[in-house]
Amino acid sequence: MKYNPKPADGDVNVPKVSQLLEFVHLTLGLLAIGLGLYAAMGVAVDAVVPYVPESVEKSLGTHYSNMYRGITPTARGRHLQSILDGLVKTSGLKGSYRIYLSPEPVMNALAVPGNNIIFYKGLYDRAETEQDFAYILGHELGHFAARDHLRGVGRSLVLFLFSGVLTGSNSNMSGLIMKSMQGVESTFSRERETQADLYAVDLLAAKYGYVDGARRMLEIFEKEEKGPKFLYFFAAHPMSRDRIKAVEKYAAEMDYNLKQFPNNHE
Amino acid sequence: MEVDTTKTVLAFIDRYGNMVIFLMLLATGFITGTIAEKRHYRSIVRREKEMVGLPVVTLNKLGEDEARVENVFFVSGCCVISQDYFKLVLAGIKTIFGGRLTSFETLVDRGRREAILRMKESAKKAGCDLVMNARLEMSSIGNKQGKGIGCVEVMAYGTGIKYAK
Repeated sequence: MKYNPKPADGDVNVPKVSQLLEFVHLTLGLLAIGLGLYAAMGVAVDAVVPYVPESVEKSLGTHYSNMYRGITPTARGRHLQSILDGLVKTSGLKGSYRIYLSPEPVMNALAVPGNNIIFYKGLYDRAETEQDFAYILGHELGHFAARDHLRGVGRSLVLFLFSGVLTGSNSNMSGLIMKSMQGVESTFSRERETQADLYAVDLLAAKYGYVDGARRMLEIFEKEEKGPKFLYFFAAHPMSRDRIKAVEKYAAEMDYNLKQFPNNHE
Repeated sequence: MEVDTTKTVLAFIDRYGNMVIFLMLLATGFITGTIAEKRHYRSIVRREKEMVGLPVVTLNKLGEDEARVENVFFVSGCCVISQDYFKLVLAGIKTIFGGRLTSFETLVDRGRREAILRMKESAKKAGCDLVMNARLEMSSIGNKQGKGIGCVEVMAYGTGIKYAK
């Protein structure tokens, strides 16, 4: 037997496809499937939300109430509560709503299940007139009226479950999917924010006869927005300029008084 | 309801920091992994050409050549190759869909060829003319319930034959 040295084709086991291309294909496929499933489950949540019994909402709300129970009502809190009570009466919403004034310097307010509104001190300090507060509270009541607070909880739960099932214990992948979906989730919720704004405007018009608090508060928010515009893709609220435009357009359509009322600085 | 730029940027980092780190690791893994792999393959191909004169066979009998054997040796070559972060993620996604794990195929192929080359180098040093009864062993390192560091150890071994000149 004679040996003739000749190199064999060693590359027969080396894959010829580009790994980067494969990665892009797989990621896009995964994203498409994920978005499809998420949208379907989101629609399912939206369909179920109007039928969630009040008892379920109440038990969900107890959990949130416990989180904020430590905050004792102050004079400021009572002031807000009285404005809120007036608005609830005007709106015709059922049930009692509670305010929790949180000492954190955040410029925000939240509608949480169980008819609770969290009002942050950062926002309280910036509002001046009764109508400023009434606009914020009306906005949150708008979320309750549309049951957005349940939608938010429902969708977050779907997002969490979905990413967990898809990626198993690999927390990096799960985390990435959660983060990338948040941008989409924010776009959904931006529509609801605008709806809540318009609900607040209706409420202000019904209670006070003018709606300038909405525009004034939104202008305060606008002044605070200095970051690059692309970041707002990820923010739950639309840019304040867009919200002001929406409010002005709506007020014009409904013939509401957007001018500042002379005696509103009470 | 955002505040100034610093706060917005900080909030962005807080929210998307993990994703940024993940993408950076992915890009680093892809770039360094590709460079390392190309460099390794160039070296493998060059050395395979250099070593082509030393045959490696799986035969375990020499037949009539046995009378010419001057000496026999145990020769072996061993190497450990690690995956990069990009390959790990790509393989992770692939396990959802199924199919060929191409990112790991190159890893295993490189390990196999490198181990054989090292075995050949060891045989050449001993003055062997042939490596017979060649075998390959593979094992993964640090793989405990799928939470390993993701690298493969390949060992090639055989019997080095030196003929009387």
